[in-house]
Formats: sequence, structure tokens, C-alpha cells
Amino acid sequence: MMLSRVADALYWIGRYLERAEHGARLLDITLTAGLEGGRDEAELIAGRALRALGAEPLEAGNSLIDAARVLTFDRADSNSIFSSIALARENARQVRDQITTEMWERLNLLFLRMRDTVGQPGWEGRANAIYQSAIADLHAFKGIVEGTMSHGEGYRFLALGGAIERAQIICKLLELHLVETEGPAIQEFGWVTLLRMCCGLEPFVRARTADFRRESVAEFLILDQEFPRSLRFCAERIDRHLQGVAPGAFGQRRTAFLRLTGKLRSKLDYASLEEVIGADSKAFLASVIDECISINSAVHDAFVAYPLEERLPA
Amino acid sequence: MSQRNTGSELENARSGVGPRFEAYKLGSAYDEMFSKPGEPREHYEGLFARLGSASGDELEGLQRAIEQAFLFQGITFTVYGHEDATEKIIPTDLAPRIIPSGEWDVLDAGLKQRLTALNLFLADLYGDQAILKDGILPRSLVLGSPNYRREMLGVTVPHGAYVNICGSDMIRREDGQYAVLEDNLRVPSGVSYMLANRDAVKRAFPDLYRAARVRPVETYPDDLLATLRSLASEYQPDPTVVILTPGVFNSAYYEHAFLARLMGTPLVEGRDLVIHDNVVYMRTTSGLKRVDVIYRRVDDEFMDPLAFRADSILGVAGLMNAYRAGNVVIANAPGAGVADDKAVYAYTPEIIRYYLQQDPILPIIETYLCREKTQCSHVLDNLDKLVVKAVGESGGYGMLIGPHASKDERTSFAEKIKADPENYIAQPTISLSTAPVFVDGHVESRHIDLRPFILAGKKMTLTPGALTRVALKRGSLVVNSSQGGGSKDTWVLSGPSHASEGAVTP
Repeated sequence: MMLSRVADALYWIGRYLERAEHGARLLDITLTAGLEGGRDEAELIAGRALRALGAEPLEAGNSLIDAARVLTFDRADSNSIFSSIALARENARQVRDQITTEMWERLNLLFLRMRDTVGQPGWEGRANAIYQSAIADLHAFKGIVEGTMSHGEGYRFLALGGAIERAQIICKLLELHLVETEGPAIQEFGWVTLLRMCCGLEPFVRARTADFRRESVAEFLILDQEFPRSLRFCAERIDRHLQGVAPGAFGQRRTAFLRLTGKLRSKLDYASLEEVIGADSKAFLASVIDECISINSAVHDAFVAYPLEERLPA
Repeated sequence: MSQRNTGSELENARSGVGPRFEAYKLGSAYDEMFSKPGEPREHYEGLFARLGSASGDELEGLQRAIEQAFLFQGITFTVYGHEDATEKIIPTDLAPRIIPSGEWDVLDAGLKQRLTALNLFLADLYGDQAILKDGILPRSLVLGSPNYRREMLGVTVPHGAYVNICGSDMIRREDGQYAVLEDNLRVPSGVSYMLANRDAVKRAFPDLYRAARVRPVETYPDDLLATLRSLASEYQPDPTVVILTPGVFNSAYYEHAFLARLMGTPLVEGRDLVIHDNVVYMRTTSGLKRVDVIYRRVDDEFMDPLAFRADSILGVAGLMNAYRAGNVVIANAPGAGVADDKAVYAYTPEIIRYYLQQDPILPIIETYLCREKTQCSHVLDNLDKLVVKAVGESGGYGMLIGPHASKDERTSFAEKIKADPENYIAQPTISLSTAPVFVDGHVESRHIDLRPFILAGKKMTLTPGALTRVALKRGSLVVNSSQGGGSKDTWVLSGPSHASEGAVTP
């Protein structure tokens, strides 16, 4: 049992931080892609990364680093990394009594470091270091959550937000790589980069050797049972976290969202490779994103914005 | 630092080997540390020696460390009207203010006596009004006050305690006597700084702290929770206590969250509460949960748009009715503010005598009421020596500091007084006591006040410690954090009767 507002804030901390981590990783990878792959390949990767982050494609005369600056620091853009971190911190401040001091201090430190970097001359030269340090801080934060916060309802809402955001982010990346038909076919370097964007290169190689083919990478990122960023893994977590929240409460509404999460989970548990990367791939990925959005609203309706009439004592 | 070398450090500091105190000026005000130049009072000798022997770099390093710790912990207050720099840390000075046990015993007895009388006074004002019938106070002064809440007439409060959390402002006069400057009976704040300062100073001077046998303040949150729980009905063995905050934009938000965290009580905002059939519920993930006791950090006017200000979004509609129906306890009780009014203040010695048949233990500052003809003409004749305050205002507004004002300002203020004498009181200019403060690696004297915290429920508790506020500008008497004030830790030393408390390890 916890305040609805608090549950909502924790959920959004989870989402914002997942978003910030994803943004930092994509920009980190994109800025160095030119060093490893060829020039054309690097351009394609930058194009996909910008679209994944919801930015306009680069126009002539605009440099990648300028686009990165906006995606990193722009407070006017609520999806920028700094905005996401600031919003997470603002939410954390509102539920400061519900999170541990260790969690708060790490998040606050991350925010203060990021704030001190904003507008600093010469940040371009240190951009990769900035992204990597932000990612390391975010990993540390998650570790602190695991180790210091009680794994009760608050923890579940925090983790739920992270899992839903992650599923949507990975889905978007997969859409851009699997469904996209324009332009040249993605080569090995493109698949390696996709794995890195999902923080999955090493786990992939361990599980399947360095065999970077479309089918193999897609199967891993969608259907793998153990990799923590595969869609199937996220769906399992979403379902599990929601099962544990407010057991026994909210009869009908509870059924509503558990039906949704159960469906998503079994869809990914029983999908065949042909279904997910074949001709219906586009529809399949779109349905996963849609279902995440539905779960998001069902959770909000059941726990946060429920009509009082339903809950008043008789 | 061992006992053995304390003596030589003391010698060094006295003979001017340590350059720390060169800029320390003693004025006419009472100085907490020195009885005369170079002669520290007995209870300050340890600190004096420690400061005298420390290098400037060490002091600056300690000071920087504490500021950084406050920033990381988010111990900040909100500055209104800034876009990005809305959070600032409150400057904390590392040199503790030290109060010997004998002095504290007087404060303890005096503050409890005072709060007991004020609670009886409030029960009377919202009950039989015997004190008004007996003519001790003018009826209009109380009933005409904007802080008098008719909604409270005939309401009984648990244990007769209208004020459950009190933070009186004390000063020390030139003769060394503590005096009450103001009773804060509504939503006093600052207790989180008392605890945070203690935490920081303990780390900075562990040896000094241990040797001094300082009484602990760390039990404040437990005591507060016990006080709040004691207000619930006796049929309610496990009451739900919540803290009601105006929200994250309030300047004291940090403190609200801090107390909620240490007490383990939900921190709610008005929008988290609903009222149904005169019962208060909070919206939780498992549905509505009944609330029994509300420690509100929202002012009376904003608590219930149906009863008070209709444009308030910080409160809950219907809260006053639920309260009057006896289904929820609000601490402090609405309407308690009528007793900390600046004009009522002048009558507090009479109020204590009236209800307790005792002489007040703690004096107040001599106060002239402009509503009384003879006193008013005295005020008008002596405007250049007095501080004049508007009764209904606070935070330094509507105030004339006679000695610092120009002739024109005094003349125009005199007109205001003549036009509305009931709205003004006057007091002699008072000089707050001074204490040592770190400034750029050396030590200077600055003016300070004292805000102890008293809890009243089933029993009354005075926490042995306080928030000492510091006017950080040289010569300034303004200690408010919004106007360049800071704070410092306050050490209350153990007396013979506190043997077990003094043994508490840091």
C-alpha cells in the first residue's frame, strides 16, 4: 500500500532514467561509429540513431555534434538526456521520503554533474567521456536500488517503469533495423552496432558466437529468455512486477491490466522466428509498442487515476 | 585532542600564537564565548582551544566539506523567482553554540510554563472566554485578530493541546538573560537543520563533541511521532499519521520530506486526500485509506477551500468539517496563531499569571501597545529609539527600525501609527548576543538567536538542542535565511542529572 502519487512518481523515475541511459548510449556509439565503420555506414547509423531518439535527420551543414548537443542538453526538449535526468530527480524529490538516501544521493550527483557540464566550452572533446560517465552513474543507481531499497511495491513500480520504457525503446530500434526497406541492406557492422545500442554485443557473442546475421540478431533481441534487454525478457518482467503490486485489490481493473501483460508475455513466449522477422514483422513490432502503451494507461487507471466512486466505503 | 595538550593549546591561543581571533570584536552585546577579550567562558574553553590551534586551511577544508555534504544530500531551501538556481544550501557555520546545563534548565522550565499557559489560553478563547470576561485582555484585540478562527469555537482538542509543535524564538539580552522574542505557534520550521547541523558538526569535531558530553537531539523524530500518535483517539491503537505538505515548491519542502522519512509516515499533498462522510482518506495504490492524524505544514488559510481561502489548491475541501466532527486530528490546531500575535505577546506575562498563578520564568521584550493612548504617545515621542512593528505582518514587513530610519521615514510612519494605532506595537532596539563564526579561515563574532523546539501532546518535551540562527553579515541583526542568515549547531551540555545521556556515542 502506498500513495498513488508516489507510485506514479516512482514509475516515472524508472522510465526517465531508462530513457536517459538509452540516449547516452546511442549518442556515445553514434559519435564513435565513424571511427570504426566506413563513412557511409557511419552516416546510416547516425541517421537511425537520430530517428530512434525522435530527432530530425541531419540536414546539410548541420554536424552530428550539434544534433548531439541538443539531444543531450536541451531543457526545452523533454526527451533530452539532461531533461530526463532532471525530471527523474524532480520526481525523486517529490518522493524523497520513499526512496533511500543512497538512491537520492546518486541521482542528485548525476544531476549535478550533468548540470555542471551544460554549456561548458569544449564539451565536444569530452562527449564520449560524459556519456560513459552518465551511463556508469545510471548503472550504479540501479545497483543501489537493488541493494538498498525494499523490494516491495515502490520497487516494483520503479522497475515496471524501467521495463516498459526499455521494451518500447528496443522495439523502436528493431523497427528501424528490421522493417526499414529504404537504403542499402544492413551489413555486419550495422548489426554489431544495433547490438551495442542495446548493450548486447557481449551477451550475444557468448550465446551465439560472432555470427552477426539479421535472423540471429533479431531472434536474440526479441526472443532470448536470459538477455535483460530482449523484448521477451522485458515482457516477463512487466508481468511479474504487476502481479506483485497491490495483490487482492481492484478486482476488475486488476484483471484488465493483468490480461494485457499476460497476453504480451505469452505472445513473446510462443512467437516463432518467422512471425517476428518475416513479412509480418512490422505489424508484430507495432503491436508490441501498442500493448506497452495500453499497459501504461491501464496501470495509471488502476492505481493512480481511479474514480473515487469505485473505492469509497459502502 | 587529549586533555593533556588542551592546556597548552589554550595558552597558545590566549597569548595570540593562534591568529584565529584577531578580528573578533566584542561590542556591547553579550558574547557567548568571551567574558572579556581573550578570556573564554568555561564551557567554551574546549572550542576556543580547538579553533585557536587549527590552521586556516583546516577550518576552510571542514567548512567546504560540510557545504558539499549539504548540497549532495539536497539540504536546500527554495529561492523564489529564479529560473534555474531555485535550490540553495543554507550556510551552516561549523563552530557550535554551547549552552551549559544550568542555563538550559531555566529555558526548559520557562518554555514549558509558557506553552502550558498558551494552550490554556487558546482553550479558553475557543471555550468560555473567561480571560476576556475578567478583562485581562481587550476583547477586540483577540476577537478582531485575523488569526482568530470562529470555526474552532466549542471544538475540544486532545489533551487540551492546541499547539503541539512549537518553535519559540529566543534572544539573549545584553545582561545575558534569555528572553522570548516571538512564539511560533503555527507551522514553525527549522528542526531539520538542527538535526543536519548536529550530524555535520559531530563529524567535523568528534573529539570535541565527545569530551563536551553534549545531550542528544537525534530522538526528535521519534518524539514527534509519539506526540502525534498520542493525539489520536484512545480507541485507535494504531493510528495513521501523515504529514501534509504544500508540495515540492515550498521553501521548507526538504524538512517535510526529511521528517516523513525519519518517522516513516506518508508525506501527502492536498491532492492525495479525499473526504467522504466527514472522514479523511488518502488515495493509495490499494484504494482509499483512512487518515487519523495530520501534521500539517500548510497554513490555516490554505487548509480547506470550503472553510478558508477558496482559491487555495494546497488543502482539502471539507477538512474542517471532518475535523470538527472529530474524525481526524490536525496538529497544530487551526486558530492556534491567535496566541502568537504581536499584540497578544505583550500580554503573555499576564496570561501566565492568570492561568497558572505563577510568575513568568522567562521575560519578554518590553512592548508598547499603540492601542493604549499613553503608550502610543510615548512611542511617537521616541520613534528614533524604538522598533515599530505592524501587528498583522511578519518576516520584517511593515516595520520601522527607528535608529536606522531617516527623519522623513519616521514622520511618515508616525502618520500611519496615528491613523491605525491598534495595528502597531513598539519595542526597544535589542541587540542579539554574539558568537564565533568562521570567516575565510579565521574567526569573527556575529549576532545569533535561538529557536528551541517543544512538543506537546499527552506529555510535553523540550528537545535539548535548538536551531541557532546567525546573521552572517558583520553587524547585522537579521538572522532570516531568506536575508543572508545562516545557522549553526547548538550544544546543550549534560548536567549532573544527565549522566546516561552524555554517554551516548556519536
